[in-house]
Amino acid sequence: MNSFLQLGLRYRGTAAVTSAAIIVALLAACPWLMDTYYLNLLFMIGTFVITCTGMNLLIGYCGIVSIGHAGLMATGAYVSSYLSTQAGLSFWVVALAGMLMSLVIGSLIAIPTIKAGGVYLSMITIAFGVVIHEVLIRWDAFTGGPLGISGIPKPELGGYRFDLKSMYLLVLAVSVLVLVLIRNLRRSAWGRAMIATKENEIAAASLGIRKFAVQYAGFAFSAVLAGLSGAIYAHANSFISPDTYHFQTSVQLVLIVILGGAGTVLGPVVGATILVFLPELLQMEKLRMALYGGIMFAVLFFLPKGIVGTAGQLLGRKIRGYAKTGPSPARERNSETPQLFAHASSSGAVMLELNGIHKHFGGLHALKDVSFSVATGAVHSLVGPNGAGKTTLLNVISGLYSANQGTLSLRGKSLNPRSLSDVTMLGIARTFQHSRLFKELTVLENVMVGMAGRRRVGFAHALLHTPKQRRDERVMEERAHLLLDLIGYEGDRDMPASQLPYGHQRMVEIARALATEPDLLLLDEPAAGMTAAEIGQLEQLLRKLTAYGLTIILIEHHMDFVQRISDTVTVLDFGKVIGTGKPEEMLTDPRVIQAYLGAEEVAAGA
Amino acid sequence: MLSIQGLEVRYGAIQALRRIDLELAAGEIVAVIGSNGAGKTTLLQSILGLVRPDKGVITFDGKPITQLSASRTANLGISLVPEGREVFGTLTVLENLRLGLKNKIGSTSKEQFERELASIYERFPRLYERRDQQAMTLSGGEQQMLVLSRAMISKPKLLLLDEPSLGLAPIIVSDIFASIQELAKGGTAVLLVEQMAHKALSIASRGYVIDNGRVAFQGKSSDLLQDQRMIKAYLGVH
Amino acid sequence: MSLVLQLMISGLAVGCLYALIALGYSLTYVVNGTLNMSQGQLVMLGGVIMFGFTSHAHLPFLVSFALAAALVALLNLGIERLAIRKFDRGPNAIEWVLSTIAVGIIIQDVALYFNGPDEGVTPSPVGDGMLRIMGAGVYWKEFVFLPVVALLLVGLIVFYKKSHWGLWLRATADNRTAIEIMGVSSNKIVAVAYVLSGLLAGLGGALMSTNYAVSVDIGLALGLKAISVAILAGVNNPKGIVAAGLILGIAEVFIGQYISTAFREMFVYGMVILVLYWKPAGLFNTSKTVIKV
Repeated sequence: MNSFLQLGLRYRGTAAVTSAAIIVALLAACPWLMDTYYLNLLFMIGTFVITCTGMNLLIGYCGIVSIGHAGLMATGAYVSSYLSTQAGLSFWVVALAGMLMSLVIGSLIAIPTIKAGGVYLSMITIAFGVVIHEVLIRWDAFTGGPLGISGIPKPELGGYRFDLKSMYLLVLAVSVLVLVLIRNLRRSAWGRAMIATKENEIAAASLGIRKFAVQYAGFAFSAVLAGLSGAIYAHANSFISPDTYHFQTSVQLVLIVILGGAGTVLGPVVGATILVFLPELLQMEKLRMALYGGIMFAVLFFLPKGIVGTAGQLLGRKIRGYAKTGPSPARERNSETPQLFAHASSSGAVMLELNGIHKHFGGLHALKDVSFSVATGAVHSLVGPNGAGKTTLLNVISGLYSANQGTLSLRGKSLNPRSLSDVTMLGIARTFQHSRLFKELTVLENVMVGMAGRRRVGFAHALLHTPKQRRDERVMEERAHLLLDLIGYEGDRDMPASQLPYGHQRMVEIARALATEPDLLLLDEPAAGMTAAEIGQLEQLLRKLTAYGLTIILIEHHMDFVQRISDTVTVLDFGKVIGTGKPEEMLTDPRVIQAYLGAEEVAAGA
Repeated sequence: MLSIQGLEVRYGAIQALRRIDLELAAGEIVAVIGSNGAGKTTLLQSILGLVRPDKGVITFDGKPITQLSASRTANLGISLVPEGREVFGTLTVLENLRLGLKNKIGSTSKEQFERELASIYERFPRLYERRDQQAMTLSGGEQQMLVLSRAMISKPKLLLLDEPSLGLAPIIVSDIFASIQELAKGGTAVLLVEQMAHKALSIASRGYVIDNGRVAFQGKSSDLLQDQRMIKAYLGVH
Repeated sequence: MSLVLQLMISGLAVGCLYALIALGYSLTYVVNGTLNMSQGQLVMLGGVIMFGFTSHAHLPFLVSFALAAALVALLNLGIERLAIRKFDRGPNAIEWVLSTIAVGIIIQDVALYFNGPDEGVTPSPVGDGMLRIMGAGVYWKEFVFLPVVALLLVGLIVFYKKSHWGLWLRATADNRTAIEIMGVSSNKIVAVAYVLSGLLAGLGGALMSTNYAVSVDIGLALGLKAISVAILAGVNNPKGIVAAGLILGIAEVFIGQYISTAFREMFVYGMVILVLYWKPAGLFNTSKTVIKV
């Protein structure tokens, strides 16, 4: 059994493709294998798969739960139907028009939705869905009011008029295509950027990822797919009415995604199949909605990752268990880092200069007249008691906060950061006090996300897995491996980052920050929680980095570590700089000791 | 009053506390000092029950309280004044104080509450002046007085203080520390976690220095104040 | 002029209901950041149960009123315990949003199954007579909404500001961490908030059934409108919510009269969209957040 599984693992790529091909072929044969009743059900499943794959992207990768997507399906359905019944245009043209209109409306919805968050986000989508539904009922001239549009013609292609069988095949083809697209996206920089933003917006921004661009892309994709699905359904059914597109439909769409498993590729297929077949199986006419409500509840409570998601998790653990029995594929160790740090050491003597920085939070004066400069290529440590303002200062430098007064200059030029992602593009990278690795991504992917800010190919390339995109992926993967080598990571690189031991997490975070190609690195308590051995590794890494010309600003409490590694130390207390100088001087300075210990008279000597 | 033996706490992969042993008697003030991240707050949270220990025994007033939740321990007479002065900003000073009665509503009569209030106002006249003001308009020092008073209203047997001096000017800190001494005189046992080691040791009878989750060393305050090891361990120079 | 006055009073009556329901959202949201998306269905239950008790079981008005409100309050307690408590600590709001939506769907379908689709109006104790003010004719049973709801609101305010439980509610809303550090079980406090919120829904529904026809499908629209009111005003601003509810009620009635019923339905959702473009946190929302890193 063991060796069988290992054989299967080695050829799992080919095995997957072959089994998929067989299944698709079987499905394609269905029109000749079953009667119209069941074929129609399969057709319905197909239309759901199209819409819900788009929503899967939105919910699973972007973390945006839209409870109004029925409105986007309606847009596609109604616009295409209006054009084909009133203007006599061909299906292929009106379907495109429907998709376009859905994109437009989807964009309108996306803007306030992405700006908001949490509860408000879902409320906004609900409101939009309701508005669209009301428009469908009231705008008689265009929508036919409560009676809807009927007599919608079936598509035609070169004289051949589609029937249920061919509509089914069309839907099957589109479904398969759409599933391939989302799979491609997951393995691209766009997919990683979406997941990163969903998990931890601030960490993603610190890597140069712009939340709006990434989430809008997800929204647009889902809107277009919903519109297409709507158009197809309308032209297969010949009749549409507002009843099909109200709030409860939107809820069903969400249910399909979470039942199958948000973020998995096959989730919507499983979810749609269950949702379409179950009431038929149970022969339910009444209480159908109650059943759906119950299923939703059960999923949220017992199976939050959905069916495919949970299965994937269980199998994943097993497979990883087996995979470890073999030797890991040998990669040539390359301890040189050729083009990793392109910008390094081209900056002149002073990397960063702070002058008179003040920062208030309401009544709290967190930083008072902070001034010092950081030399290029130096390790500059910031020390001070709890609450002295060290992290606040780092936040000001990295653009998370803006200073109320004072100036910052980077490489001699005035620095006015408006956001974390701006600052990252200028060459400043940072890590955080508490680990912010992206748990859903693997170790390797975490590091690759760091490159998303500078090197992301276009969305279309990512979807279609073009040769350009494949080349770029290889380059990024190679760089990521090199960075992991640099930090001395020897463990499994395909493991989800959530399983990393703590010390490794901190180091991988540094690798991720390095992936943004910075020349100034800000580290917030990197040694916190590390064992002595791990701190040794950290020291080695920092020395290597400065050898490459990087400048490092470091907040730390392990004073011996600070002493060994720093060129300069700045001491903060109560938001003020007590002094800046060489570590031996600063750490034995009586004022510093007093700041830490609170002694008025300090015990003699140290 | 309080006895801790072999306490160990882990957060996932991190060992926050390793085999802590600690003793505290009624009316005693004991300081727990150490650098940032050494585990001091975790210690207080374990005693109160906000964090569940993995190993070890905590005994209070003769009873084991190791795995009890925060509401149970609070009812047994342990109060925590957390780091960062968690006041109820939109409520008035008086309302904040009234909340200190917690679950003892009924059992503490109105007169008793009034008496407690009177002694609090006497100790901290500024709280009396501001009794109808919203707590968020108070200064840092006044908020610290408020939180301290609120903890005292329920007449705890054990008071846990987490960095009461944080962010306060030295003069105010002296005020607060003087009040803590008074409280201890009244029989309350006080466990005082501080970064301002010398200040803490000046009112405590004994101290424990925590480094990286373990008790590095301990002793009488007078001894510790002279101890060279303090500066070294404190600044993490090994 | 008399028409305007008539419309004003009708609008205020409807507005009172919106305010009452929206307050239910706010009450729980300020305490632990959650709300019951099926609040609308609870209102529906209040109305349907009220109608059932008075017209089928022939129970006296006040008894039915109290019972309907109490039953709905208890139901909300159950909903909090089952559908929300597990999720309210999560980083993501979406689980309890979805689970309470699911509850709402279940309630509506089950109610349809047992009650049927018919609608009914509870006979109002003040009768069907009209009251004449300055030439305008207003139904007593509609007019009476205003003092009743005003009384309820006053009662709520008194409870919130003066009572001991009210103190705890305000404290939890202010600083939940501090409550926990004090060792107080915030679960009990949250439960109280949900009972109150359910009470408001039940009372609102029962009251509503004396002047408007209630059936099992009114819940969805009501809930959505009320939550729009809460969004417009800012969910944590009770005074704003009351004002917004009243304004919406008046606006709807006037629009329905002078423009069209179609527009009336879309009005509030259109407003929500506009406001959310402009001020995503709500018009009167005053909270500030500092990002902690």
